[in-house]
Amino acid sequence: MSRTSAAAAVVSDRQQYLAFRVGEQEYAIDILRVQEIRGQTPITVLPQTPSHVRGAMNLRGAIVPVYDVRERFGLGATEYTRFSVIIVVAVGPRQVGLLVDAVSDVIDLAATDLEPPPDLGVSEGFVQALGRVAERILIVLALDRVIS
Amino acid sequence: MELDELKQFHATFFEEGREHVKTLEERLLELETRPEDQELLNALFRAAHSIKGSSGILGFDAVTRLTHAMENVLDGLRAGHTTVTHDGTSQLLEATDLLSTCLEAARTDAPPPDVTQMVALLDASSPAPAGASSAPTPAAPPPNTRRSWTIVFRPRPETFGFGINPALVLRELRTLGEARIDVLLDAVPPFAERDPEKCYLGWRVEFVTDADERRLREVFLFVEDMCDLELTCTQPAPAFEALPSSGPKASEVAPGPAPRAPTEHPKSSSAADASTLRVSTEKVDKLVNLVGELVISQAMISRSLLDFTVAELPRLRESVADMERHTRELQDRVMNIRMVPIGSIFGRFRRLVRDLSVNLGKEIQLVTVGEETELDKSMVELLADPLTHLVRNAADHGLEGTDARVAAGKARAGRITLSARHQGGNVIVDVADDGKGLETARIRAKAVERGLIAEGAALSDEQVHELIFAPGFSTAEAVTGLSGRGVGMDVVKRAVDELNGHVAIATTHGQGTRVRLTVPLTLAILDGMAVRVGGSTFVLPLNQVVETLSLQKGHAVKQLLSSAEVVLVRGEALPLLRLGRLLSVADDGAANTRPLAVVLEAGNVHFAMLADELMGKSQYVIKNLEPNFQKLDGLLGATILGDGAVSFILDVQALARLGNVRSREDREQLMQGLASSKEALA
Repeated sequence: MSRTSAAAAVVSDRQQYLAFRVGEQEYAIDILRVQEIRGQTPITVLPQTPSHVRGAMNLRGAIVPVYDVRERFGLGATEYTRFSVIIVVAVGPRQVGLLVDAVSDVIDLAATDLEPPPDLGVSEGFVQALGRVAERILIVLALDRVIS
Repeated sequence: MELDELKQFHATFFEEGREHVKTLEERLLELETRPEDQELLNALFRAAHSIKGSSGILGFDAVTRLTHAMENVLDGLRAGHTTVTHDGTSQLLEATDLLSTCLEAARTDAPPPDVTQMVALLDASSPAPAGASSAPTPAAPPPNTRRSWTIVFRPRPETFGFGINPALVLRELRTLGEARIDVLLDAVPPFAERDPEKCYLGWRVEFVTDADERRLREVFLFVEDMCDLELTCTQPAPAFEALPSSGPKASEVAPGPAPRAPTEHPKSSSAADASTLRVSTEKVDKLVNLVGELVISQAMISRSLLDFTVAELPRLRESVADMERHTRELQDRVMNIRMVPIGSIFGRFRRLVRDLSVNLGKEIQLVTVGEETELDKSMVELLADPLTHLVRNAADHGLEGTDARVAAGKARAGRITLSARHQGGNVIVDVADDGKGLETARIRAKAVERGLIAEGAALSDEQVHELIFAPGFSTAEAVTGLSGRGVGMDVVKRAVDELNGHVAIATTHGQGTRVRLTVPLTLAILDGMAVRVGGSTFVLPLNQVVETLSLQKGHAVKQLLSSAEVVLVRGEALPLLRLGRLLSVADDGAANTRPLAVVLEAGNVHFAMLADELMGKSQYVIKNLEPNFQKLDGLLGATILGDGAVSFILDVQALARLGNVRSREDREQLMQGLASSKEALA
């Protein structure tokens, strides 16, 4: 009993995140939500959707919507190049693609590395926390808010 | 874990319960035509008894009480103490309905409905109102039937494997009388040879009881295939003759013909079930073989690609062709798995028609044709509601009363025919009656009254008949409990539209009406036409594409307002929609110098859509957007094109709505309205 709770404490203490870049800023998401990372994939524009829904792609027969992270944050549409990357994440029972500029690396963040988000009164609660590792500052995303 | 097992057990019970309820219903209806059929009564009894047994174990009290009461009534019928009557079967059918409700309530953890009244009713009509005892004692046996029996009961070794506990059988036996039970150990092998999962024991029961042989055999009903059973009556009962001649010779009874029950068990068309699908092993075997071949062709392709030379090309072509053939066959066969005969829903209409006949006081005969016609299981289920509406309508509005029929020189009993057949990739289901037919004049009057058409509008009879599919249309003089509430035909139309099918009506005055539903075989595949609009490819359901026109060849496009265009097709102005505007996709191909207009129909609305290029006809696998996204207005779903890209299937009905396209009649009215409001403004 004590061992499992200790293990759980370790897990919640140090967690792995996938870091990616949109523009100059680095973001991070819980790596356990990440299912796969795909390079350039044909995206078909989805009618009747807000501009941050870039379209839909074919993921081995499943139709998966692709969200443009940059557009979602009101920073303009991502230019879709052959360096663009789609991170496929699980949000509840759904699979969703996130269009980002580049994937950086996988990082470990301890609870002490995380700070509550600054109260800017904007950004619709997309920011779950701010992570600090050495000189880097990463925005840890609240995925469920980003995908809604 | 244990909870899971219990859940599983529950699931099995409910699934079996549903099947038993279906058996009860079907057999009860058959019973009306063949009241003497003992095998039918046995099947009915077994169904009720099975539900009773399992519900008792699981603690569904209401179900147990109800089935027990039903069992009593059936037992009375079986023993010939009572006879089959129309009212009797009606009562049992009602009880079956209640049973179905009880099971549904138990399944959803809802409070069970009150069964007390029904149980009392059933008890009143069963020959011997059995009390609380779990054994339904048959009709008051005269007291002098007390007899003694010798029963030798030897379960087969594999009995335990079927989940049968012989001790329970013996316990039930003991509730019927005084028993002395001896264990027979002679078949038990030496210890080293014993298999702990086998049953080696037998029992010899010396038994004194009032119950007759049939009742005794009932105890063994579910194990009789699984055991050797000898029932020997050692007659003169001690109470009657004080001569306890215990010689076991009197009336030797041959061991019951064991394998009669299960072979007769009805499971023919009971495939349509809420969540499970029964597939024959043969079909599955074929699939397994086919997948095997597919793997082989795939391996061959991989190998020829491994060190590929031009000389390999013919071989590669051949392998790819093989794989194509296998894939296509696999697709067909997989679709075939979901195919069930439409008869599985026709069955329920027999019950409906019977009830309607009683409620309406009309004699109605139901004829079904083409029950074996197969279509997708979900399609069958989705057709049930529209067909119910149609059968009700036919019985209520279509067929005349008996007197009127006789006066018109027709057979007393009205006839409703349900028929199904394949035609191409579609299934045609007809609901026809031989009643009075539609009254064109009355429909027209009603439509004018409801403001659906203008007074004196020039419509053909067919167009008038189509009006009954308009929302809120009903010509029934009285609102009855069955139909005529002004809903119905429009519901039918909407339901069939949602299935990508269509409804047509044909009628001959005085001779009857036929409503024809044409639906695709499946909801999973769509016959479609791909069109390019700007940079995107969209798929249109083929059955809604009327024609395509090149706009260069003198089809004038007229700009009416800044956002409204029409195209003139053979003198008729059709609204021309641009997908870009409708669906907020940027590119609508307005720059194309050789644009096309695709004429589409959605119900009674026609319009044209601007497109750049036709990409051809094909079958498309329909994929839902819901699992990962949400339903989008204007789209039926998505599909994947040959190049692996996602494409969307357009919902023509929704496009018409989004584009505010109106039917011709609507337009005329609107223009009148506009004119009068202009006057008012001026």
